[in-house]
Amino acid sequence: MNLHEFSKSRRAAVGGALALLLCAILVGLWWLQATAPPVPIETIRIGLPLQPSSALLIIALERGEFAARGLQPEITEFPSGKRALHEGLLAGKLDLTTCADVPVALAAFEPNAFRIAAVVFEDGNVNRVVADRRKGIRAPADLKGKRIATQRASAVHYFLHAFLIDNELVENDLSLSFLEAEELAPALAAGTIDAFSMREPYISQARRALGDAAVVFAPPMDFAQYELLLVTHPLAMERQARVVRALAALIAAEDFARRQPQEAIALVARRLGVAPDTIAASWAGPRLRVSLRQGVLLQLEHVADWALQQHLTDGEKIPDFLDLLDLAPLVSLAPDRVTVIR
Amino acid sequence: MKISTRLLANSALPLVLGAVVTILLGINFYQLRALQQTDRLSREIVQSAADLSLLTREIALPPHRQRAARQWRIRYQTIVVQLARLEFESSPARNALERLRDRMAELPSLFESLLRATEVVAPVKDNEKKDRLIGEILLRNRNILTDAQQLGSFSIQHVESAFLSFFIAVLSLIAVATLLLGGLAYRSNHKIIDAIARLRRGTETVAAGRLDHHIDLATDDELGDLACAFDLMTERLRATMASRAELDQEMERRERIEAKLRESEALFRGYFERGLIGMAVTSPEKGWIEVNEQLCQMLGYPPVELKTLTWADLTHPDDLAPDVAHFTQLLAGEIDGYFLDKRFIRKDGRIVHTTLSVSAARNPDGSLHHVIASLLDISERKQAEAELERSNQELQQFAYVASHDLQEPLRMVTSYLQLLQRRYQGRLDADADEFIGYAVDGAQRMKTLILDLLTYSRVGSRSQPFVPVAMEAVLADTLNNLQEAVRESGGQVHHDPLPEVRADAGQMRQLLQNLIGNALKFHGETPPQVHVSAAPDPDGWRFAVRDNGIGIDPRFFERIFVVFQRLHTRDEYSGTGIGLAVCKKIVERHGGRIWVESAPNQGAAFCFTLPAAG
Repeated sequence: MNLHEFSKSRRAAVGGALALLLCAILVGLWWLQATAPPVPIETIRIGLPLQPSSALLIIALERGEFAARGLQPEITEFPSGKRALHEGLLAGKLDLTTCADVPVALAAFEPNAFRIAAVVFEDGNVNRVVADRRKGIRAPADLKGKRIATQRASAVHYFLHAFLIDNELVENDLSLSFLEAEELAPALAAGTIDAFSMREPYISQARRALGDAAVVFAPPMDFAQYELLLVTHPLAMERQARVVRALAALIAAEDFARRQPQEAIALVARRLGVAPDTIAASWAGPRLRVSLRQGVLLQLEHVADWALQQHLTDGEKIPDFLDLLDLAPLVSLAPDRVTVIR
Repeated sequence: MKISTRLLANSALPLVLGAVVTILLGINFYQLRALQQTDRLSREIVQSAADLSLLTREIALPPHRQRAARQWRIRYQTIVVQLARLEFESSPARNALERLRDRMAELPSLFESLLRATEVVAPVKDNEKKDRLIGEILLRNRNILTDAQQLGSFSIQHVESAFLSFFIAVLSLIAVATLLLGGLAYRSNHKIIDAIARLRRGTETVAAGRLDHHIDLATDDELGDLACAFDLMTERLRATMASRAELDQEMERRERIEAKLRESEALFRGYFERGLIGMAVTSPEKGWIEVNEQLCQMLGYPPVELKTLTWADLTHPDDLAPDVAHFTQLLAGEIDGYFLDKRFIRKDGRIVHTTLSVSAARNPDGSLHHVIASLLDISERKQAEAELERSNQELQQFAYVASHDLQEPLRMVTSYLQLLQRRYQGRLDADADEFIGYAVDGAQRMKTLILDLLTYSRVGSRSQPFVPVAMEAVLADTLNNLQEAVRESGGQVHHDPLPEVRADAGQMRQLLQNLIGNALKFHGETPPQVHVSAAPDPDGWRFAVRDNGIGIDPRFFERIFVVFQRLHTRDEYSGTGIGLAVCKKIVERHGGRIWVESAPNQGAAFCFTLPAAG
């Protein structure tokens, strides 16, 4: 063997050894991946309010985002977030649900049985005051002395409060009554009330019932409404990993809604049983974003202060909502989504 | 530099560069991380200041007061901790940081005042106080925020500076590496391409048959080695081609040598076989190897029978011992040959006198291989020498007897002639007186001749054994004997210190007396000056008797030492002409030699050598 052949064979040997080493590394990586322990499947009981503000929850459920993160959802549907809170979460039947800020603020006067994990929906353009033009109502100021109904101790109740303040009115300037949500549009159509404060789909029902006589007033510019993700206290304290996975599923849904709004709208519409156009009409407005902002605290404290003034609660002082916030899961997942001062 | 080394350097340089850049990058990354941390802290402080402002406003609103106060305190502590973690190297930044810390230290008291002002339902003047406190806190927050932003800008400046330093360092390294690599590559390519071109031309030249072509590529790399190998190959190829012709010549030369060897062998064989001397080749182990015809004839044995005998069988018993002694020395390697007169016993019993010459042929290790013996038959010469010896002895005996026995009648003749002369001198006529005078003179001269002849003959017959003899004493005796002659001649005799020799003292005296006597006798107008000296000589001592006399013509240097040979008439110088012959005989008897150094009228120096005593 001469020198040239020796060098050639040595190069071949080194090349072969390197190739074998590379193959061994690849096989090892594949083996590690193949033998990695599977993520355990855990059940999570979710309460689903059938309303557009539940869009992220609906999208995540429809797209299997919970299951993809090892959570097996058990869904219980509710007509509203308030009922999901009281009948589901506070009754111990749910681990997680969404609910508007007003019921949450009112529930916070009771001993803490839940924690706020995130805001999943934020919009001031959800609620409306719908009036009957035939009753001489053309502007908000015309509501003075009129009969106005709403759902008691709810978001639309607080919305009406904010609407009146914005239009330099107070509750005593009008005749306020309380009805169930589904009773409002028929009452307006029947003329037993002159106006009501409510959200979709009852607004549309009233429009259809009154036709041109329906007057819909825009919400105050500075009004905001939050849909909060609530988890049970034990879940927040002892099974924080589930909360993190649930938040991750909602963030994935948020991402999907931003990237593919039409499909997201279709999913939400199908789940709510309404036409996609109905959802699409207000889709641009809602800010479907998982977050926890300092403004939530202000909102909850305002609502609580309002509830005390309106005697909607037996509580005597404003709850400490800072303690009600469960910041850690979202901070660990996406700290930039948390602006609560801490 | 070897090409492989150059390639290695070319490969290693980017690696080194990469390592240096990586290290720089690491250092820069570390600095950037630290600065990034500072920047992050600065931004957090900015955010915190903004948060404090927001919370200050919230505190003023009753629904938010308690919660906002809690958040304010938490946030304030956060800022304090963040400020404690901040570090800057430049003094402006340090000053800004100190200022910021001072401002922060003032906030809590204002904040507590604000809290107290908001605790109760405030009258108008308390509301004014509350508003003033809020304004003050917000203003200071604003200042804090500005300072924090300034710190952020310092961080950004440091980041930019660090990045710029890193960028310049990397750029410089890349530039240096590019120049270095480019230079190396250009130089390598230039050298390699030039070397390959020369190799190609060399290959073509050699392929064209010019085997004397040399590439002579004086580089220290692999191409230089290749060129050397190529030159070596062509040299060997040329040597191979040349050696073929040389091989033919060598074969012819060897054939000639072999022919000469055969011729020489035949010649040697002829000399060996047909030579006039007996020759034999023997070996200590193999005995007789070769014997020639002459040897066989000399010893009277046919070759086959001769080879059955030993060297000792053939040697005369009396001559065996010296031969064995010499041969033992030859075997021991002390001598390589020797000459010896020895006798052999022929097959018929007669003695053969020979001169034996023995020479050794040795192996490369010095051991004896064989012996070449040459025997020259000197039986006839030995016989002649014996006869000559006998003749000489008879002659010497005759001379002694003759001279001794002639003395008595001659004494009678001389006595009566002298008596006749005394009695009848003047009585007879003048002729008778003259005749009687001639007769007396002749008888007297005859007596002298006989005495000298007797002296000469006695040198060999009446000699004494050699004994240590002090030549100083001998000279003294001699001069005492010559005292009258010295006086008559008016000359002088000087001498150097003389040594002691081993000799016959009487003959030494005779020798010096003859030589000094001659020196005193043969002088010219000036009185004789004689000087006797002695000097060491390889043979013993060299004596000289130097005079200032008439000198001797070199033509007569040999003649003067012959008996009765004279160079002058009796009228000129008396004498019988036997003195120097006696001297020569004495010196030769002592194993020395005698000679004369002279020129006419230049004086003469008679020199002789004698063995030293002991």
